[in-house]
Amino acid sequence: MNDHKQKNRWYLILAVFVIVYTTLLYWLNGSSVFAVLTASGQNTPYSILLVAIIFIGLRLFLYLIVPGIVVAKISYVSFNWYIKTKYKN
Amino acid sequence: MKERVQVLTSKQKILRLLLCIVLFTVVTSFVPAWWCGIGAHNWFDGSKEMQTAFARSIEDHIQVKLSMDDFGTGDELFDREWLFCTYILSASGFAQMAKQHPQRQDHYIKQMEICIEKLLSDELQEFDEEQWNSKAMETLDSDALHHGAYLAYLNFVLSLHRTLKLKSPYAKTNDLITKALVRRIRKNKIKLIETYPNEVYPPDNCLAFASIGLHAQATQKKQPLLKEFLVNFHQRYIDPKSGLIFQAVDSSSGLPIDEPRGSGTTFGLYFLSFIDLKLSKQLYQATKDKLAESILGFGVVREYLASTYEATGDVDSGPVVVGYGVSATGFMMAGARIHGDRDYFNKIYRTSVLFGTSLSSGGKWQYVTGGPLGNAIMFAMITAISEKVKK
Repeated sequence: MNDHKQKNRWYLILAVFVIVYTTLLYWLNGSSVFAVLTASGQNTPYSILLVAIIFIGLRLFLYLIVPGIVVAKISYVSFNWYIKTKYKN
Repeated sequence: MKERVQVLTSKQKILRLLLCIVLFTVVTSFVPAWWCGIGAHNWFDGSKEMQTAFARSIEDHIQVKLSMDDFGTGDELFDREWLFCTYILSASGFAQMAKQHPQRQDHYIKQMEICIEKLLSDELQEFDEEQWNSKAMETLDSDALHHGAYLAYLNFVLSLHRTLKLKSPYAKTNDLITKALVRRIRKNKIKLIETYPNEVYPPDNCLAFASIGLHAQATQKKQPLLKEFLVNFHQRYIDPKSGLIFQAVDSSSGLPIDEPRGSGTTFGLYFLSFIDLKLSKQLYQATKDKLAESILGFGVVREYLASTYEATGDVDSGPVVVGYGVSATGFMMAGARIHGDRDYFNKIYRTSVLFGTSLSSGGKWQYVTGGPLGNAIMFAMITAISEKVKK
C-alpha cells in the first residue's frame, strides 16, 4: 500500500514537471518577450527573472541530473535483482 | 521490499552505493554534453539546411513589427538599443548567409535591406538622438558630436551590404558616414569615437573600423588611415598583459576606466575579423587562454580575468553567473568558427543549446529563451564565416 502511494507521488511529480516544462517551452517559443538571457539581470522585471529561473532550473535538472539518476536507479534495481537471483537458492 | 533489503549484507550495500555514484558521475560527465552537442559538427561545417532553418526564424522576427516593448531590460535606453541591435546582428547574419549560399544571395540581400530600412527609420534612431540631443544623420558635416552608437553600427551594415551589392541604394549614405567616421576618429586625439557623450567604448569602435575597412573593400579605394587607426587601437586599447580589449576608456585621455573584459573582446574580435583576421585571431587566442573554460564538456567564458573577478553583470555582459558571462560565451562561438577551433565551437554550442533551448519546428530553428536579440546575436555568431573562406 505504501509502495503504491509512493509510486503515485512520483507520477504526480513527474506529471507536474512535464506540464510546467512543456507549458513554459511553448509559451516562450510563441512569444518574443523573453530575452532574459541577454539582459543584464539588473533591470529585468522580477516576473521575467522568476520564469527564467524556473525554466532554466527545470532544463538543467532534465539535461544534467536526470540521465545520471535514471542510470543510477537502473543500476540500483539491477544490483538488487542480481543479489536476489544469486542467493535465491 | 523489506525482504529484499534484508538479503543484502553491509558490504553489498556499500558496493551498490558506490556503483550508483560511479555510474551517476560517469553519465553526468558525458551524456549531457553528448546530448546537447548533437548537430554541432554540422553547424561548424556550415550545413545549409540548418543555417537556412535559423535564417527563416530571423526572417519572421524582422518582418513582424518589433518594438521596444518586446525587450525586457526594464530600462528604456537599453530596450531601444536592443531593438536597434536586433536589426544590426540580423543584417550581419543575412550578409554571411548571402556570402556562404550564393544561390540564394538575392533573397538574403533583400532581408538585409528590410533590416536597413528599419535601421534608417526615425524610431530606431531615437535612442541615439536622446543621448546626443541631435539627429546623427544631420550632423555628418561637423565633428563635434560623434554619434558612435548609431553611426558605427549602421555603417557596418551599410558597408557589408555594399560588399554584396556595389550599386547599393544606400551607397551615398555609406560614403557620407564613412567619411564622417574617418574624419572624427582622425581628429580625436585618442583616435576613437564616442558612443555617447563622453563615453568611449573600444569594442564599439571595432564596428567603426570594420565599416571603414569594408567600405574600402567594396569601393576598392584604399583607406590609408585605417592601418594607423588599427595600430593605435592595438597599442592603446588592448591590455598588454592579457591581450583583451579594455571595455571602456576615458574620453579625453584614452586611459582605461574599466577592465579588459570577455564580452567586449569577443564582440570586438567578431567585427574585426571582417577587416583584420590577424588581429581578430590574436584576440581570440587571448580570450581562449585567459577566459575560456569547459565544465562537463560545456564551454563557458569568463567576463573578467580571474584576478579581477567581479560577480555582477551589466548590459554588455548579460548575467554573470559565478564569473561566467552570457554575452562573452555567446560571442565566442563566432570566434571559434572564424578561426577554425572545432573543439571549442562544439563546447560553446552545447552551452547554447542547454541554456538557450534550441527548438526546431516547421522548418525553422531558434533558441527559445533568446528572444529577438538573443536569436539575432546567435544567428550572426553561428553563421560567422570561417577564415579559410574569407581568405
